Amino acid sequence: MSETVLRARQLTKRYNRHLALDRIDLTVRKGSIYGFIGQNGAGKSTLMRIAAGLAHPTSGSVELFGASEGAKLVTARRRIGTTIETPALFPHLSATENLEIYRLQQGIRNRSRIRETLSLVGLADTGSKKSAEFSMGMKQRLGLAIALMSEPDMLILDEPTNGLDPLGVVELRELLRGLNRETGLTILISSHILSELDQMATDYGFIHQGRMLEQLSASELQTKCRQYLHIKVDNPELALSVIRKGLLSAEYELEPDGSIRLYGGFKRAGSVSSLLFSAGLEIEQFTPVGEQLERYFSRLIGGAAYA
Amino acid sequence: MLNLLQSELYKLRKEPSFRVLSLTLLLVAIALPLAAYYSASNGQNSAVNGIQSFMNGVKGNTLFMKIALAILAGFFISREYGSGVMKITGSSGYSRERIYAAKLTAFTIGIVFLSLLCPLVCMAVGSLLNGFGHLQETETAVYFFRTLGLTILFAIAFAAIVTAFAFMTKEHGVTIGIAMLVFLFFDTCSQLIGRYIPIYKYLYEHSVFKLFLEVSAFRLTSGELALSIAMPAVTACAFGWIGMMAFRKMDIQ
Repeated sequence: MSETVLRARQLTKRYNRHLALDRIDLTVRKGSIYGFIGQNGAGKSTLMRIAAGLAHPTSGSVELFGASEGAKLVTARRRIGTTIETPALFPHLSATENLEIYRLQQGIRNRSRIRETLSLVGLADTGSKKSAEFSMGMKQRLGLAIALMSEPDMLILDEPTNGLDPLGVVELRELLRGLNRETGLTILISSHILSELDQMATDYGFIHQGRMLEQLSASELQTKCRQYLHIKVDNPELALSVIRKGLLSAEYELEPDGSIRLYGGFKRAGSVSSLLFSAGLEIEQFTPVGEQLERYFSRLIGGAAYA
Repeated sequence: MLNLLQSELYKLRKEPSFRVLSLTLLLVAIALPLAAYYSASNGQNSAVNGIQSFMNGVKGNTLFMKIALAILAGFFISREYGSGVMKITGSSGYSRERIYAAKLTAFTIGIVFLSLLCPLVCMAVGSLLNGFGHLQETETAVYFFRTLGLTILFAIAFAAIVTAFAFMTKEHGVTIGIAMLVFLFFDTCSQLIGRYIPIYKYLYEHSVFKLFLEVSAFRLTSGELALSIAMPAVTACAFGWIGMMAFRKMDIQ
């Protein structure tokens, strides 16, 4: 069983009458990229803020690197880097000066770490330019540099692609994937734009109105989102034989109720139906099934259009 | 804690409002004795020496320090909420108490520096123009060191009050506006209220606000001196503790 970096147990957060988090359970495995998906106001930022120590839970607990209480939990937060909501910058300071603050704060003796971190995020050549004059993409990258300054074991990134152009999104994704692959950095990343996460995340958590709807790995999600033809005929054995002969590379499953799942059959639906029909089979059901991540999430939160 | 403090002092050094306040107070401190010198040259007033300029600088502090407190608290403390910097500090792996203590210490150092700038530069310029001189009314050295010490003590007390307030308001505009209003009108309002409510008058007269106005007095009885030492010390401790406890329970937005 893989090591857990962050675990939330029955985490609840109430702001007066508003229930921001409702008994959330969440587990982030070491070395994973955990895509935290939910609409605006679903509770993603609240959970991340509690994990980062910025907000106190109403009930429930957070465990970080095995520490769940008091001073140990506070100290464990030295192993994380965060950007919550907006990049936290001093607008009157340059990128180097901004990082100098955090170098001093974290007690990092090696001054060259600033240069290394700026190079990593592609801001090494900004010189004395004040961060107020940076584009939104540069600010996001500087925010990420601050989070990476102390060489953390885990990054908590709340909507880090906000304000980035499409190229910036791709660059950020590649940077995070690279860090994850090369250093084993664990990443908890939130977004309400699912397509930003589906090429990167290894695990997913879907949150809606303060409730965790589902947690699953990327492969589980892929299976759930996989497109297939759902076929029900009067003679399944014959149907499988026909499919095997007619579609040599076909991947299929026979369900206990006798129905067949024919994966990748979307594009070949016409030829499949012809094959079955010409074999004299009586087709009771012939339905394309499967969905994109967006559709899956929409269905999960009760979006009737995709149900 | 030392790392946090170093980081806060670096921020203070780079804080534009701190630089502007320092420069402004420096110019004021140079201008005050110069104006007195030229006034004396024209026979309008008697010459003002170093210790008298120091006294003028301390009196000026009753206004300058309050303005400095409001502005620096707004920009150095409250603005960190708006910019999100407080979120990074809050999640940096230091306890809330340490974060608060480091911020309070750096802010206090800044305020003490600003509160000493005007009296000491005034004294230096006055001494250059007319010599250091001496006071007829009291022992000059005792007066100088006592006033300097009390100025530092009151600066610490006011810094503790304003830090607690700035951490709670979280909006730099609100902090500057309200702190400025309170500091500029509190004394006048309190004197007015004190006429009708005797207990309020008693409390006000024993508060740091009233005692601070007496810092430049030539003579203080031992009771007055003890009160002028004890009250800012107690105020600083009380507000330091209140602010720290409030910040510990606070959610950082």
